[in-house]
Amino acid sequence: MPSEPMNKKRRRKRRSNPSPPLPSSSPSSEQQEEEEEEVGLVGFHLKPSASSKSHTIQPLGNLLLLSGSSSNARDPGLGSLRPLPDDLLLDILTLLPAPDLARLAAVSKPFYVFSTHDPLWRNLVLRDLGGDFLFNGSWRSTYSGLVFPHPSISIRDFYSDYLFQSWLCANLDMRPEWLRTDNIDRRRGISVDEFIARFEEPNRPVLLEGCIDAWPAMAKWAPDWLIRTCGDKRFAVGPVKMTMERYFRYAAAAREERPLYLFDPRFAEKAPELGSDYEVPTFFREDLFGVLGEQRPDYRWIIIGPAGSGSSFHVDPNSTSAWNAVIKGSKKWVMFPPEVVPPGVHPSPDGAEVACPVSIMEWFMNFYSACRTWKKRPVECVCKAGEVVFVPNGWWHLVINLEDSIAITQNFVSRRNLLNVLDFLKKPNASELVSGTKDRTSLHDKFKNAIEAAYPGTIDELTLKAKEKIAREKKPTFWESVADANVGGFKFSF
Amino acid sequence: MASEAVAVKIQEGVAVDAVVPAASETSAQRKILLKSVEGEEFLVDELFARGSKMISNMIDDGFTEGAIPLPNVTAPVLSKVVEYWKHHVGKSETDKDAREFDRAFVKDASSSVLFDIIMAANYLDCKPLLDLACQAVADAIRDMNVEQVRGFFGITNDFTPEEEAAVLEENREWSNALTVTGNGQKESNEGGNIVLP
Repeated sequence: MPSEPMNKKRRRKRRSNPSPPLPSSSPSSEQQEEEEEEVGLVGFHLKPSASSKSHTIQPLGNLLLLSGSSSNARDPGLGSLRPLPDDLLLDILTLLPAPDLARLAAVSKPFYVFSTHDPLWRNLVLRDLGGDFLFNGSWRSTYSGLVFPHPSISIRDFYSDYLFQSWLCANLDMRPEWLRTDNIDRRRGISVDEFIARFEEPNRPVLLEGCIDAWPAMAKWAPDWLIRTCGDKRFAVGPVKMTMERYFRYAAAAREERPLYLFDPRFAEKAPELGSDYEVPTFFREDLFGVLGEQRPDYRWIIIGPAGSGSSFHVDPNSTSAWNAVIKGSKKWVMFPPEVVPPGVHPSPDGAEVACPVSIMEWFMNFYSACRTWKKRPVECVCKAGEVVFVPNGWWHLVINLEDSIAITQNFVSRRNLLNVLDFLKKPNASELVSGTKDRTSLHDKFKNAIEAAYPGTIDELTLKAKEKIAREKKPTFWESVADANVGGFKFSF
Repeated sequence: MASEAVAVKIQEGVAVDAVVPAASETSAQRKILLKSVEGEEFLVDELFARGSKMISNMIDDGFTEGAIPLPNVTAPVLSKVVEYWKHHVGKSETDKDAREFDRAFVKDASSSVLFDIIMAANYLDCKPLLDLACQAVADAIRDMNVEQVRGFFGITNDFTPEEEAAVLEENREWSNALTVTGNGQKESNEGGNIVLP
């Protein structure tokens, strides 16, 4: 499963109206003193750690609802920058080095608010400190090594949808109604043949119970054990590489909209004991990319992340299928079949880019309820420790960790989707789309030749079967029968 | 500002049909009509107009007749955007001429022009221009002290004296932290002193 490009700047267009919180009543002076930051966030499921004092920015809707002459403290203090929307302002600030950004905090109150926006400091930490950082509660504190009381000045009457939404998404818990639907097929103790016939062949997802109970990983893996076992080895976390110790230190304290998660395709090479603590469940043992040996694309990852981390909608690369086993924690899954594009997602025509500009939390807040009325509703589940989800090739999927989680995932090619994969690799823009290898353009040829060598005649056999299947299932149109010699020649279809 | 050969002011009253491209023209020769918020029309090679992803999508969606209205862009700004496309679209990223153009482009632009270009490039979805303009603003304020930044944007100090003292104290601790610990970053204070007034 690919990770999102977390370090890449995304053109996030926020919805202009976050679900409006109840307005605070018309502020009298006593009320203002008392709860000046209270925004009336009834109905939002905030994390226990989110204190109302920690956020002082309100959504624009509140400004409109207040009676009396209220103005946005944002505007005067920005001067000629005022007409710029917040996301563009932050785009400018992203380009500044740390000392300049720090200095801007003293310019005016809105500058203070923007220049202390923690995601800006995340970029700077990752860029300037790499994976060596010792997380210190916030990214800003991490960069400087100082701990800041937050905030050191009082900010009143500051309205910004963008910043409010950012704070909100970082501090929301998943609503119960988002977790209620669990309509995936669940199976326990089925045979490999049954799995292939019922799920892999027809390309349907399934959750498998009870097939990883014997993994040593289930008994052994935990943060402390991983830290001890992996020592100084560094694992891929977004754009940097970190030790387990430093990663877990970050994960324990992270409060953000898109937490970084550890996602490493060479974990078994770095720490061989990890590789021997699990084995591929019997259903997925046919793994044809294996014919390429060392030259195969990345195919297995360890995934470690705190609650809220995860991956928004995407389709797995190379047209492979995947399985995902939870060792610790739990994950919420939302899946759509290949022909149904999830709401809020805009794939480019060639499939090279999947623009899902919203974060996972935003997607749930703004799009989840819409698709529940569709005819083709998504397949959903909560996958708990000890369970395995099968993601058929081409299926859109979104995953979010509901708690601190550790999981293993592998992508694979079996005879059931070999032809799909070969087709995918043959595409003219395959070099952009194909992922996980250093040598992209000739992967198709290498793979095809290797399959022919190891399993001669297989490709032809599968191709024939596929054509027979199409012929059986589809009555050709008049013109198709005339034009296509392969479909048994001219046929009248009326 | 619409003096470039590519951007031609259209006379009022000229039938729009007269400028609709003939079917036999290739996209390299086809021209697109863009209309600024004031109603001023710009005739632009389709190749250049596709420097805007938004316009490109509209063309692909079948917008072939009449002018594409751009209610969020004024004529002077649109003129500059078209200039940019002319120097960049179809050229390689390392093209010397394009880079020279960029240097002059941002050098002569006032901050309010830069903001207008930022918003237009954002609206039109022309990322390279957006990046260029944002970088220009960032470069302008880099190394400025607080007073200079206020002057540049026309900002009045809205901190109370106590608040200002608190923020400056925070900044002082900051600059000490960056000098003393170094913290592994490549960019500490050049020469050893961040002056944070």
